[in-house]
Amino acid sequence: MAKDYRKPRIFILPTGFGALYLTGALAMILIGSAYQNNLVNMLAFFMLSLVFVAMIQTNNNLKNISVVSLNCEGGFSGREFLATTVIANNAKVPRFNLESRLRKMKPVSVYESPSTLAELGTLRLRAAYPAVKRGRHQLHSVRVSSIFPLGLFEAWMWLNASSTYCVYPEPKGTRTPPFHSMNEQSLRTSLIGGDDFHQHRRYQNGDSQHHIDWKAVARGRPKLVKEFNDGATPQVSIFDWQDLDGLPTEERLSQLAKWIEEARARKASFALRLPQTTIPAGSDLQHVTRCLEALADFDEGSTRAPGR
Amino acid sequence: MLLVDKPWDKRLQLMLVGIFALNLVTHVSIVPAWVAVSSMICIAWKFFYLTRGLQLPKRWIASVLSILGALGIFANYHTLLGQEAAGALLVVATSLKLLETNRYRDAMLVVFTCYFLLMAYLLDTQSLAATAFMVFDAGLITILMAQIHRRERKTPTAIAPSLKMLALSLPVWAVLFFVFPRFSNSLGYTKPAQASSGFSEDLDPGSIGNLVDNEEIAYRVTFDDIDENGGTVGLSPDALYWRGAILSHGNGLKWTRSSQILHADAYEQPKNAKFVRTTVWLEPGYQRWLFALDIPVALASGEQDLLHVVKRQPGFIYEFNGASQSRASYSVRSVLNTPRQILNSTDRQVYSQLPNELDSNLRELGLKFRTEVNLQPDQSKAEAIAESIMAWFSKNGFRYTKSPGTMHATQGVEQLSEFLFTRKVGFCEHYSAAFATLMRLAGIPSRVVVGFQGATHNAVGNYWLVKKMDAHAWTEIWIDEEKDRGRWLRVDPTEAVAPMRLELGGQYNSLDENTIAGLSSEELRRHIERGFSGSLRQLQLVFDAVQMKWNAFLLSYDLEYQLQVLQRLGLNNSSLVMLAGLTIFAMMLLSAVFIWFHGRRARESDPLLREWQRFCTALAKAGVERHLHEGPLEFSHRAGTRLPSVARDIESIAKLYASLRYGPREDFTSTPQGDHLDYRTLRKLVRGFTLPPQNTSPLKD
Repeated sequence: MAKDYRKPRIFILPTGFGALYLTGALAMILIGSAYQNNLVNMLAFFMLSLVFVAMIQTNNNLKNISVVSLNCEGGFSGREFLATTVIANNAKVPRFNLESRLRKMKPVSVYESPSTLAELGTLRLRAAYPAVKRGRHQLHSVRVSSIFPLGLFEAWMWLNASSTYCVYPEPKGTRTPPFHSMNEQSLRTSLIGGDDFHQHRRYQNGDSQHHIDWKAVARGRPKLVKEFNDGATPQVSIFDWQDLDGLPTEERLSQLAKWIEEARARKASFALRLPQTTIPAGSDLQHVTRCLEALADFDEGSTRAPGR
Repeated sequence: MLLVDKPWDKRLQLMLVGIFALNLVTHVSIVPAWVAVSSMICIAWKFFYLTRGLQLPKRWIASVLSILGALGIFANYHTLLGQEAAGALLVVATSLKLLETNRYRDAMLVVFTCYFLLMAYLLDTQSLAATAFMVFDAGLITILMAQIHRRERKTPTAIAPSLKMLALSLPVWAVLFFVFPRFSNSLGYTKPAQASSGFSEDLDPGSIGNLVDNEEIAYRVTFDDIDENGGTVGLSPDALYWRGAILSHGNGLKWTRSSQILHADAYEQPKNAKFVRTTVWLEPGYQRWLFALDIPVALASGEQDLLHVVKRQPGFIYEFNGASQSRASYSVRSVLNTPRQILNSTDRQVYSQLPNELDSNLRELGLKFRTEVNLQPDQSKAEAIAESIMAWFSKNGFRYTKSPGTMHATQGVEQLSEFLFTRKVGFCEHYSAAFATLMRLAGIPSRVVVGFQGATHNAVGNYWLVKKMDAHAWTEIWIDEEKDRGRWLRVDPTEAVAPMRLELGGQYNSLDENTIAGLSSEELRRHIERGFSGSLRQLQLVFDAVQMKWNAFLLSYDLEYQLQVLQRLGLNNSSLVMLAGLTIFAMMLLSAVFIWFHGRRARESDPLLREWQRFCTALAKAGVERHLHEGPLEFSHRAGTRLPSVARDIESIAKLYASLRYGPREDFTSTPQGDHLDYRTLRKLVRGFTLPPQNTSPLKD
């Protein structure tokens, strides 16, 4: 087998417990000598030999491990995002108790997985990290570490793995999502698709004026809002950047993110309109992700927010 | 860190409780009763929490309890730092910690303290059984510690890496144990005398009597060489007196060491002196005097370093410095005939001193012995008086018993009167104290000697075993020869009332008085041995002989020994530094071996590809050959249509290979049951793959 010239460097340091254990073993040697008790010495040397063996085993445990892939799911700012590292064992001996971390980030929670990486096998390690700053972030490496076998030492290495993760705007805001103008017929058909009239419902504050059945009002009936049927999705909303006039950019994005999150929870169909992009209506997970990513990628510099 | 703050697996917690309980068992007899009981409650509580869902105490209650525990131990020992106090504190702290071990940190701390509990146990016992327990327990603790870092459910696969680790640690352990330099007693640590397990310094009724049923071993003795003239010394069991301390200040039945300074021993070597060199192997935890075969005139040559830790006292007494024991074996030269000595006037005064308030009965009795001397030819006056006192004991209905009951009197002198004139039952301590006092009343200098008498021979290991029940007290009387010269003659007043005690040693006391009556010593010996069948007894002897060898090894393996071994290997001028260097060198060598060995095993020759090729060859035989441009999935699809009866097998092998080779797809690499599939699964599938018969038969044609 050809030699891998880019073999990652393995670092190793005692853990807190390792230091404690070593101190205990050394103290035990002192006690054994003071009492001239060779049985205590035996125990102390046993502990010392475990420290030694553990050190070598911890180090060996990371050899011939490579990263197959690093994938991150996006997450809302202020919440967390999920990173999945797939590592492969290229050795004929199993590896134990492995974990992976992203650079300079502390996981919020670690998802359990089988701790053993079989010989020549692969292992999927998942952890959630706090999502902080909105945007798309680049990752270049992942830290793979292990405290096998006794937790006395931690060995780690940085493996190259490029990936990105998206932090969506923090979903917040108090406005209710509007239905969009019926007059914008062309836009509506292109965005929403179907325009079959479905049913009436009572007007609620916040409902778009465009959706009120004025003809019915003229006939003296209470304000009713027309709902349109779009095949499987009875309701279609258009989340429009322009509807949020007067708010700073980040708050606008947050409001849009909140609407999207709510729509997702209801499995409702929606479309998103940003100054430079328009995403046609949809309701599946892919669509939601696409919209949220568009919010994450939104660059203030490309458009002058009127509110500013 | 992995799994921090994750509530622990119930199974793991139960193992933790188990291992702590195991280590607590060894401490039950060492720690105060309340500590033992409260930690047992903690263990039971945790156990029922785990199995029955019993509520655990709140965190603050546990904190309060731990403070109370520490205070309780302080009240018990008046310190928190002594060996026993620290051990008890460890037990209390760990018990309370056990109640909240639901996090990684807690579990690890409990495991750590288990190592230290084990150590505390080893400080008290170093027997063969303790060694076996240590190996078992240390292994178990370590496996548990490894289990904390693993999540496998199936026990055999889960502990395999731990066992491998333990196996690897063995050579490292051996190197460290044998080569790591022992910096002997450089710390100047002194171990406090343990009154509980040993001899009290003074003699008063009950001080020896309470050792009567104690079957524990005090020490073992080997006779290194016998008699400078080359002959063997006929040492019958009743001549085996092991000298401990001398008590020269008598106050009736209570005797203590004299506060007056006595003069150092000077002696003339007797004619035809019979010297014996013995080595005594002390059991740990029983050290104040260097017990030695009577009369130990000197430490054996080659025991120079013993002089630093041993104080020589007048009367051929050796005492460990400052009540410390830093050597567990020592060699002594004893002379079997009584040597001639000098007793100057001040010492004579000390050895003749009488209690202050003697009642008239005692004075009269003393006067009677003094005046009614019946001198035989070749007999000194002292010997004649001793003989008449012994005769008086046997004639006046005195009885020897191990349970003489409690005295009414509390004063030593009143107790003496009570013993001599009313009760007339007593143990060796009563007789020796009374005898020595009567001798002084009759004007003869005398003293009480405490030590051991008797021993059991182990023919397997050829050594003598002295148990605590062999503890004994006897007397020595001064025989004037010329001017201030004379001899200290050993007189054992117990002989007057229980001669067989001296022949049978301490085991005589285990017989009840009805059995003793009318039996000869030979019959009694047989009676004692009747309890054991022959082979069982033999087994016991062998076991104790192994124990003796083990103790001898444990006790003698020190820096001196290490340097001797080096010297024997040809490394002259060996020193501690050299040992340290050797240790480091050996460790580096071992780590190089480990790393090299591991690298050799870890290097692979692509077994995945090997299995895949084997599979492709099998399919090629059936007429489906893989094109070079075909990927595994594509190929499997084509092969599946050609061989529809095994299409599913082909597909699953190809999918597994693809995911193992090119990165995982969970639906490929795990079964619906969640089992993880790996190289071994592929191997099994490929090896188990058989072609349908209708396809193989045309090929064979």
